Amino acid sequence: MARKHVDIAVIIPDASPVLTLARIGRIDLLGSFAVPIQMVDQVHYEVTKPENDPLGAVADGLRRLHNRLEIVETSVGVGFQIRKARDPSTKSSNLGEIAIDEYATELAHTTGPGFVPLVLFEDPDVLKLRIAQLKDVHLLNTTAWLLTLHREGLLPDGLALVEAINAQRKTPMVPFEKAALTKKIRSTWLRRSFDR
Amino acid sequence: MNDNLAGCSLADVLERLEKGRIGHQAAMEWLNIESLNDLVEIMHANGRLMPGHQPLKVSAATRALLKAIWEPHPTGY
Repeated sequence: MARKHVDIAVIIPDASPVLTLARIGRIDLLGSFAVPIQMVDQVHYEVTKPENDPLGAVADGLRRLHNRLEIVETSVGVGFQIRKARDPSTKSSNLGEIAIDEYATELAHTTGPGFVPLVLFEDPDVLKLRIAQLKDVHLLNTTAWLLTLHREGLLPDGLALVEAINAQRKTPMVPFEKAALTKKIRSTWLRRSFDR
Repeated sequence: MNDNLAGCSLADVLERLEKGRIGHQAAMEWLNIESLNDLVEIMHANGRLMPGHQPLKVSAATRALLKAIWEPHPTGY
């Protein structure tokens, strides 16, 4: 069946999914997305700065994704680096959220109706950000992503990975998904994109 | 609640557990395991759910989306 063109990007709006995958040694899983993975520069800075990644494992894992991972430059991220160069003690708290809000605003103004942002997140605070309010946004947390892949037969060790993730947490990560705009079961973008 | 499990196959035991016809303890004794986690793992590995559990509800849109954009690596991940 011929498919219509659809523009999908996986957007990682906070550090949590990357850090979770790093803890189980599976950042490489992101490399199996056949679409671009986007992370704003400020979040990339947060996950790879020496305080959070002392052994450089996260930075190394992300580097191995090569051009699958797109680091999105934001005014927030660039501005922070300038300020940090001037004063190394400059704090970066909350700048990741501000940077992803900046990028969400850009996406809202520049993307067409065929664009589907798949937001892979863990921090519930992300749900309050503009990225989670974009038209046709599809929200998925790490465990829902892995369990769905497992259920669809695309990732045989998906359950084991979820168990490994939960073994390192105080409480299990409850799978969460919010499908793109839907009409009954089928989403409008799904029909538009895949003729289903 | 405990049926006579003599002569049952693994599939029979897991099916009875899933349908709530036998208890966890009976199944664990038959399987000769002591951990409930192991029992859950055996059930899941055989495509069964623990009694009363609901499968994760994943929307058709999410399933279709991930199938469309996932390319499993040839080496297995």
